This record gives sequence, C-alpha cells and structure tokens, in this order.
Amino acid sequence: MSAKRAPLVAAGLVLGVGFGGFVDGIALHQLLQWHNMLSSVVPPIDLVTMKYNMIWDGAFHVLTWVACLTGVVLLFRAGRVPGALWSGRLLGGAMLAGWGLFDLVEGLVDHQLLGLHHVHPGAHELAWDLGFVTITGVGFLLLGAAIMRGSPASHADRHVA
Amino acid sequence: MIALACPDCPTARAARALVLHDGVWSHVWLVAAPYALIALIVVVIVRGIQRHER
Repeated sequence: MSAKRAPLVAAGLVLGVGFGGFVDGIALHQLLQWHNMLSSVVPPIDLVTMKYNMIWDGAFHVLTWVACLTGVVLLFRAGRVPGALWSGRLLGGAMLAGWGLFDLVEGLVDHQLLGLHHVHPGAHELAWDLGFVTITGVGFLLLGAAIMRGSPASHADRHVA
Repeated sequence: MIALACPDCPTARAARALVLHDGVWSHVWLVAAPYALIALIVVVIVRGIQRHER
C-alpha cells in the first residue's frame, strides 16, 4: 500500500519557500546589494532612503521567517501522521520545488506586476528578471518535481531503494 | 547624518517617518502579496496530492 506523500510534500514546499526567500534576502539584498525590497519605488540614493529600504527588507524577512516556522511545524506534524511517507528524497525535492515556487511567484509579482524591485537594475534589467524566473523559478520547480517523482511510493519501497 | 546603524539618530527618525507617512499598510500588502499567492498555490498542490492518494 502506498504511503501518504502529502504531509511531507506540504512541509517541504513551505520550507523551500522560506529558505528560498532567505537566499534572496541574504544573497541579493545584503551580500551582493543588487536590490532592496522597495528599491524601485523609493530608490536608496541617500542614508534615509537606504534605511527606509532596510526596514522593508526586514518586513520581507519577517514573512520569510514565518514561512520557515510554518514549514518546521508542518514537518513535525508530518512525522506524526500515521502512514505518512518519510523520505529524504521527497522532502528534498519538495524543498527545491518550494524554492522554485518562491522565485517564480516573487519574480512575476514583485518584479513584473508590481515593479517593487528588479533582480539587477540597470542595463539588461529584463534579461536578469527573466533569467531569475526561468532558471531558479521554473527550473527549480521542475527539477524538484522530478526528484519528488523519483521518491519511493511506500515505506517498503524506501527500505528496498 | 552619517551614522547608519543608530536607534534614535536624525537619520533613523527620518527613515521611520518616511515609512509611516508613505503608505505603510499598502506597502505591507505589497510585501505580503507573493506569500499570499504562494500559500494559495501550496494549498491547491497539497489538496491535489491528497485527492490523488484517496
């Protein structure tokens, strides 16, 4: 009999969304300093507007933290669901898909629809935005889904694999 | 106006005032919008898997 995949997939997707959000915030906002949360709305051209953007980066990180916490709660609950599949491959695939889902939605909503910021503002701005959505968005989503599909269908399969 | 990390300097007060007087709630919704959409998508995906498993 097949084990339930939904509890672990839910936990993995939400954890992936949270970790993907932190990669964005840490790498693109802080380490590389390519953009801030509202840097296309209020460009950080002086100390006050830089601090303004840092505050909204903080708001973004609050929501990202909430996503990670929700993922941990879902993972804990998945471990207590009778008959739920416990597979590292399924969890890893779901996390990668969650990361891709974050980049896809954030890229389309924040970059294209709302215009809050762009991945790498300036020359070739649209190319950077589209690369973000397709490579780390759609790409990670499809790769994660493929990894999940290759996970065992039951606990018995897991032991055999 | 040179200190960047300061809890109560003129720069910090000016930044907080700009946040509060620049449509703070509309910006909260803008920042939260992708997460709301993502939550909806995750619910749809997980419900789909649950239906398939029944």
